[in-house]
Amino acid sequence: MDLKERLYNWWNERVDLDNLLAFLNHKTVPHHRHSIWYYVGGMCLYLFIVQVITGILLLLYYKPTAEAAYESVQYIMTDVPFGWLVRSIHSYAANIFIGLIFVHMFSVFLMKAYRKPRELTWITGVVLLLLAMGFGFSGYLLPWNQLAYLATNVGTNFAIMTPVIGDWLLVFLRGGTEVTGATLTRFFGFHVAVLPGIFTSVLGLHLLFVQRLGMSVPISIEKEISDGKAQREEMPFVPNFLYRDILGWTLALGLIVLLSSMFPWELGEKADILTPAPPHVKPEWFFVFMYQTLKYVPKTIGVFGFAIGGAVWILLPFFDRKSNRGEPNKLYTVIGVFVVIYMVALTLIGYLAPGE
Amino acid sequence: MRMKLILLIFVVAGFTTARAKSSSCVDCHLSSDWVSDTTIVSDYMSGDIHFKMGLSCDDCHGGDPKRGFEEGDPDLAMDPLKGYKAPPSRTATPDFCDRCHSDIEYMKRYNPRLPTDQLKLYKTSVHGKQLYRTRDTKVAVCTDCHGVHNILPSSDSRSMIYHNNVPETCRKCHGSPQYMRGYKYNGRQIPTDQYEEYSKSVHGIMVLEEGDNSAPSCNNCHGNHGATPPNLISVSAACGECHAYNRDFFNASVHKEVWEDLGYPECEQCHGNHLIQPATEGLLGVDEGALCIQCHDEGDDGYAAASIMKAQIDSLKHALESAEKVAKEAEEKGVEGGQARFDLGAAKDNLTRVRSVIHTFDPEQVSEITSSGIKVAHEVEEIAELALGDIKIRQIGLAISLLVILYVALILWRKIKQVDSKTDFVVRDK
Repeated sequence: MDLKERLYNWWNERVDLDNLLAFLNHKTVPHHRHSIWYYVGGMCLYLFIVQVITGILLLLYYKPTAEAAYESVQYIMTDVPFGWLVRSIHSYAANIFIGLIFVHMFSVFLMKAYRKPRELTWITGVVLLLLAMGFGFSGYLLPWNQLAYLATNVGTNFAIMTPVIGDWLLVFLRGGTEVTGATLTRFFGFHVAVLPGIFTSVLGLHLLFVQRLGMSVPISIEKEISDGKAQREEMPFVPNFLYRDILGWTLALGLIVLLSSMFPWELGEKADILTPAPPHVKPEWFFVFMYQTLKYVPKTIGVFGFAIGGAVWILLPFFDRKSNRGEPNKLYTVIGVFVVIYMVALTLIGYLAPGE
Repeated sequence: MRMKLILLIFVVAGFTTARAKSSSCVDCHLSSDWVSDTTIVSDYMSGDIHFKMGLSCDDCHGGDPKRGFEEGDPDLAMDPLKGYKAPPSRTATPDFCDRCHSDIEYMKRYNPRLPTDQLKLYKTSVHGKQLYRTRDTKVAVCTDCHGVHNILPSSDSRSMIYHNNVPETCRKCHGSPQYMRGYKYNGRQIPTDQYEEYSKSVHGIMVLEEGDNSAPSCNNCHGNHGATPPNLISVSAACGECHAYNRDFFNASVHKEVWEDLGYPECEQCHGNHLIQPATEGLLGVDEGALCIQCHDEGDDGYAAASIMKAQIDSLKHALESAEKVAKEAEEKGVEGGQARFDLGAAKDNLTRVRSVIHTFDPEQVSEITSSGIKVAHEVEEIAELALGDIKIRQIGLAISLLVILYVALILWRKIKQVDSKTDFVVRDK
């Protein structure tokens, strides 16, 4: 018996590898003309892992105080070997991560993959998006530069509009009435302890649901199969699907490394509480559509509207009865497309016509 | 007409509220039946500082307006026996104002910070001397600069003595060749182009065009009540009010004594007076346009010193430009440049400092500053060059990484094709 075999046997006796391999060999993924969207979820998972690894590396040098945060990031960018690369990968991957979660969510929405029995997969997925936005919001402040400081001021200000607990929530987020070093330390805590804990748990549930229920096949494809216009096709997860996943991850790594090397993530000027805010301060890009909306409608109504909209969005599978019955629902498709257009348009207006 | 009526009502109402006892002055001085100039009252009440402080006509002019009003007789209101003082002549004006303005106790009630030595100073000024010695009524008296019944505080931007308005106020007399004809200083006709020169100077542009109150107006160098041209040895004191380091360096320099002997007017000798231009390094050295060679000839110590100092400053400037260029290039290529910017800022401070230190005219002192600036600039440049070298390594590393990544991707692509060709995707009913 060679070493490889002996090792396999050692593990097999303890964790039942035979069973696991048998499961993997039998696991399949639906194969049809919309299958490409299945890879987005896996890409998000991959980027999350990239974030965890680069985040841990940054933690080795980062100092979460107003006095030392900026200097420590400067040190990472200039003196730590490959520090510039690690921080740039962390920043680029974070943004691509959030962007792809949006893509993943809307692809699931438009394929009505949230329909029964996958309501819980959808709910955990939306929660993961909100948590990822929380990661982005808290992480943005950590370098303690001027732009981040001002954006955090703008962002946390909206907390005050929460009914009843607004004032308390603002103080809770900022660690006081203003954005100070206390906010930085607090955001650091959220970013590296609270959010990762919650995110990993919800991600575990999300993956469990995906695993238990498998991938959803779009209603139109199901119909074609039932009408005999197409045959049901499935792809073995190992190795066909997995190879494709790894190919995607490899190319994503190439893209991130290319961006990080050619355009290392900027650090900007150190936050100065006494410097007046320049005009058109914006939050991070994934909040811009909300921020821009609040310029056109009364803020309280806007915040309330987004809260209600978010709640409806998360509970959508329970409203869309037609899809749950396996029937096409054009109204929901139109709503989904409208939401995408609205978010993209408002984000573009926010950047191209910031004075509006 | 309607607006005027409303204004009149406000004026009268305001006045009667402020000082009801003096209403008779207003009654007559607003009526063209009694006086030819009816604007005095509205002038006074539209913001004169004395009116704001609650003072009325009789506080300056005396008399008994109450009785005059009650009995309908202006002569009773303006009774000299009741202390009435008619508007003073120009020669009497300074003393007229001085009755209150030199009274410390009285002035404390209204403005404790206002000096009370204006007349004393005025008598030392060219204007005052001229007025009191020769009874020359053409010279400036209080009302020429402050106004008569429309006196505003110097902090009011409408005031003739507001910092930025002072040049225009002085120009009224000093800009007129006819008016100034015959007035001499040190035996020479006083020129009348000061305003034109000043308005083109570095100071004048700041004050008149940019509205910058920190730059000097006429009175900052000449004084106001004690206005007099700075003499030869007080020029550096006047300039030194703001340019304190330059003054101190100059006063301790070899030039101080020599220039006193030669009768040179200190700062003015190189920088001029009203037409002062921004000082550049071009004034220093032995090249064309440099001022040093107006006195120093090749072979003397001053010539050598000027040449050395100019070379030192040029070296610092060159080092700064070079370091900035490389640091900027490194930053544009993605290297974090915060520290470099900070260090370069410190080195640039040396350039600012040395522009002051050249007033020592001592190459050793100049060298001390330029050398440390050059050292910092070179250090920044060295770090930036290392960073640029680092960028090249990064780019090579990137190229290798991308090649490896693309190679792996290619292998995966082939694997996918391979396994797909062996896979039947169609689900057969079992």
